[in-house]
This record gives sequence, C-alpha cells and structure tokens, in this order.
Amino acid sequence: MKRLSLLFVLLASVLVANAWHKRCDEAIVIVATKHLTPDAKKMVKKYLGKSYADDVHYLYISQRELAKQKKLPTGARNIHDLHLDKSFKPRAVKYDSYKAIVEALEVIRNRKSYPAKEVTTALRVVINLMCDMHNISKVRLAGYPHSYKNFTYTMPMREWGPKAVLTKTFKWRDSWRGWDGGYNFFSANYWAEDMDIFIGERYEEYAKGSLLDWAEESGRKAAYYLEFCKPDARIPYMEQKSMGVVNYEMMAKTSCRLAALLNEVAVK
Amino acid sequence: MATEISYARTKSNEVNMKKFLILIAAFLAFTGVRSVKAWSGFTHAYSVYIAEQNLTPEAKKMCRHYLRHTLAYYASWMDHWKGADAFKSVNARHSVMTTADGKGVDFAFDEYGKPYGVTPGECMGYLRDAIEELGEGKYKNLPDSLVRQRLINMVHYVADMHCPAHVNFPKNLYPNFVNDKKIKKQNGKMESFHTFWDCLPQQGRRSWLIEDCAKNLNKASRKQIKEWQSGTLEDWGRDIAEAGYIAYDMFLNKSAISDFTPEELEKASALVEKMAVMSAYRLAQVLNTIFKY
Repeated sequence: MKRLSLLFVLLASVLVANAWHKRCDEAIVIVATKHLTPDAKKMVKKYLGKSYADDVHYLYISQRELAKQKKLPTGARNIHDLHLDKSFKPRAVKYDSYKAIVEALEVIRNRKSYPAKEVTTALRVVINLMCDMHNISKVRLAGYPHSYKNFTYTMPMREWGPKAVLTKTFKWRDSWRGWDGGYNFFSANYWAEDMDIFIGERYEEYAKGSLLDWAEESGRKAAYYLEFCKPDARIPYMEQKSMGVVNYEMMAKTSCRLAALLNEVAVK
Repeated sequence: MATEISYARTKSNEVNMKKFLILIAAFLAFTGVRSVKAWSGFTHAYSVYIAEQNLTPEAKKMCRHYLRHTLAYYASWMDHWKGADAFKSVNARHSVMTTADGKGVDFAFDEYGKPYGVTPGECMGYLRDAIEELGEGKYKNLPDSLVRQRLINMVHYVADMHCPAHVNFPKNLYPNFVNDKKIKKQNGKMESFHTFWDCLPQQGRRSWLIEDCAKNLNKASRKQIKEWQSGTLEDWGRDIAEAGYIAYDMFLNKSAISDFTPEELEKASALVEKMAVMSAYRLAQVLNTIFKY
C-alpha cells in the first residue's frame, strides 16, 4: 500500500512546477549539502549519485514525459500544496506535501526493506516537497478560500509623491516565486553563496523544530499575508516589499531544515 | 577621457558584435526596452559582481560581515525600496548634476538642479561623504547598521552615476532636452532617453547570468583599470560628464530608433558596457581603500 501511495506521490510531484524558481531550489539544495553529516552524505551519494543538486530538476524532466503520456491521477497535483486547518495543523487530505514528506521519510528510514529505486524516489520527493512546503503561496489554509487561487491584487507604486496614486498589479503566486528584488540573472551557485553568508551562525536556529512546527510556521506566515492580501485588494507598499525578505528567509530555512531532516533519517 | 571607445576587438568578436547588434535592433524595434527608471537590475548586478571579484580579501570579508549578503544582492536594493517613505530623502541621489559649464560633476545639487541646502546632494556628493565618514579606519567607530547602510547605498550609487542617462546637464547646454526626451520605436510606442540607456546593456542578453557578463563584457586592460581607478572624485566626475555628452549628442536630431545607424548603436552599446565595467572597478577601488585599515 505504501509503495502504491509513494507511486502516486511521484506521479503527482512531477506534474506541477515548483513554487520557487528552479535556481532557488538548486541553491537551497547546494546549501543543504554543505550541512550534511558524513552519514547523510554517504546515503545521498548512494541513492542519488553525485548530482545531488540535479535532483531538483528530475521531477521537472519527468513531468514533461508524464504529461505526454497523459497519466495524471485526478487531484494529484495538490500534492505540492500544504493543507492546514484553522489552528495550522495538517488536514487529512489525500494529496498533501506534509503527508507525502512523512511517508517518504518513513521509506528512507526503513530503506533496507525497500528497493533502492523507491528510496531514490523518496529522497527526490523530500527535496522537492520540502521546498514547496516552505513556499507561502503553496499553503492552502482553512478559512482563507483565496489561498486556493492565484488571485491578483495591487500595491501603490510609491508611498510618497505623485506616484503614490498609481498602482502596480501582482499575482499572488508570482509574488513568492523568487528572491527579494526579483533577480533572474544570479546563478544557483552565486545564490547559494549568498544564502550561506545570510545563514551564517543561524543554522541551528533555523533547523530547530519538527516537520509539524515548520508546517505551522508556513501556515502562520501565509495567514498573516492572506489577511490583507485578497483578490483585488490594494495592499500597503511595505507589506508587498516585505514579501521578498520573508521569501528569502524561508528559502534559507528550507535549506537548513532539509539538511536537518536528511541528517536525522541517515542515522544508521 | 577620450571619447572614442577603445576596446580592442578581434575579427571573431566583430562577427559576434554584428549578431548582437541585430539582436538589439530586433528588441528595440519589436519589443521595446523595459520601462525602468534606473540602470536595470541586470546591469547593476553584473557591475557589482565584477567589483566583488576585484576586492581584496580583507575588503570582501568586511563587506560580507556588515552586509550579511554578497555585494550583488544589494546591487539594486536602493531601487527596490525607493518608493518607501524612509528613502524619500535619498531618492533624488540616483543621478549626478554637472557643473554649469558641463565639464565636471557638481557635488552639491540634486538631479533637478536645486541646492539641497544643508545636505549635499546627488550620488557623487554622497560617495564623497561616505568615503570621508568610513575611510581611514573610521568605520570601526560607527554602528554596524550605519556602515551597512552606507555600503548598500554606495554599491548602488557608484553604478548609477556611471550610467549616461543619470547625468543631468544645465538646461542652457541642452535646451529643450531633458533626460526624458522621447523617441519613437518602430512599433509606434514612445521610448524615453533615460530608459533607452538604462536598459541597453540587457538587450539581447535576457538569459545571461552575471557570471556570463563578467566573462564576456569585462574587456578592460590593466592599463585601463589603472587609469579608471586613479584620480580624484572630480576626475571621475569629468569622465562621467563626458559619457553624458556622448549619450546626449547621440540623441540630438533623432525622433525615432530607426534614425540610429548600426554604427551608432554599436557605439552606444560599447559606451554603456564600458561605463558599467568602469563603475565596477571604481567601486572595488573605493571599498578596498575604505577597508585597508
């Protein structure tokens, strides 16, 4: 049964593009790699080979193949979303990133009783969905129906002067695609270098907690923004700008937490 | 500084340049240049990246200590937050104002030609004050947050002041020519002088990363670098004013992008590339000098 469930996880994972730009995901994985214990490094090398960062793209490549074959299970694309109730606890839904990560971690922990191919898949699922779970636009929150939609909203061009009356339109999910400033011309390695400096001595602080705590954090942050960021709303200038800062911090946290998870499950 | 662009080119480079110019022309004609009001984030980022590659180990370490990021992360930070109330007072400083004779840069005027009063205006003035405030080890006695903000501003302003569109001449030198003169693109839409120069380096290079730019656009020789980095801020101001003249003159008697000859487009492109690299080496020089102590 677990094997079947994992198969669905894989099928679903490969059919939806990640919430963050692929170079962001690559950078997260590059930074996470630096924080792996020798055991975790050995495990990752055994199941994923040398190209750990390339596995971020594995799902995208498979996505194209599966799309051609029209093999998408109904509702499976929701596997990338984090479904939370009003108290920020995971809801029991068929396809959910939290649930999928828990299942995949179980496979990795008991890897000796699973075929190597399934362990490889489980590792890829963890890498992919840890990124998704920390993306604010992927949180589906009870009580916030607009969290299910890619709605548009506006912000003033400036807080002051004549341009304060002009507005700029944004799409909710696009606001959480990349880094502060929206740079698309930094390589994954350069972003990883930057993220490494940003994390500095904060690794322990960021990696603290359980998967449940991290899901709750994503939920609380999403709730904060969804409170005023609604379809067709005009949001304050500073709140829109702060999204980039929060987004970057969530990426840095993801890299630390991904490393912490892999370090934990790699223990013999 | 000589007005001619002195990049030595091999024959293969010339072929590449022709291809590149065709790409520029296609972009200008059909898609237009992105409407932004500062050197585009792309140019800022690769310029600052080149600067970072030329920092001394000490300067690099200190910059990262204060910024908790790479230099390029903050390349466009000032543009990103320019609409915030907190940055209202420094918003006019993204440009430089030339002296009355147009031969150098005035350190005490904002981009609209109005004196700031007590606070010296425009980015050259800011740079001078920041060097004075942080240099010779004085940064060690300042709060980290202040040093950090000065660095963030300098990283942006040094690049901005080297953009030809950010040079403002007195109106008597270019009557009826403010830096937002509009020219017509082939799709019928209007393009401003400012946007043309701001976004020119990115045309045809949408998929380039900053590392690609550093590798392909940084063609400066050691002699050139030494020449660019030497001299006072006033000397730098004269170079900047001279680039401004080239940019303004190129736009005189033009009402449409199609009025530009391929040679003029090549000259324009080479000018902005040179200015971006020049700003990179000068930023490196400023930061290396500040963190020498």
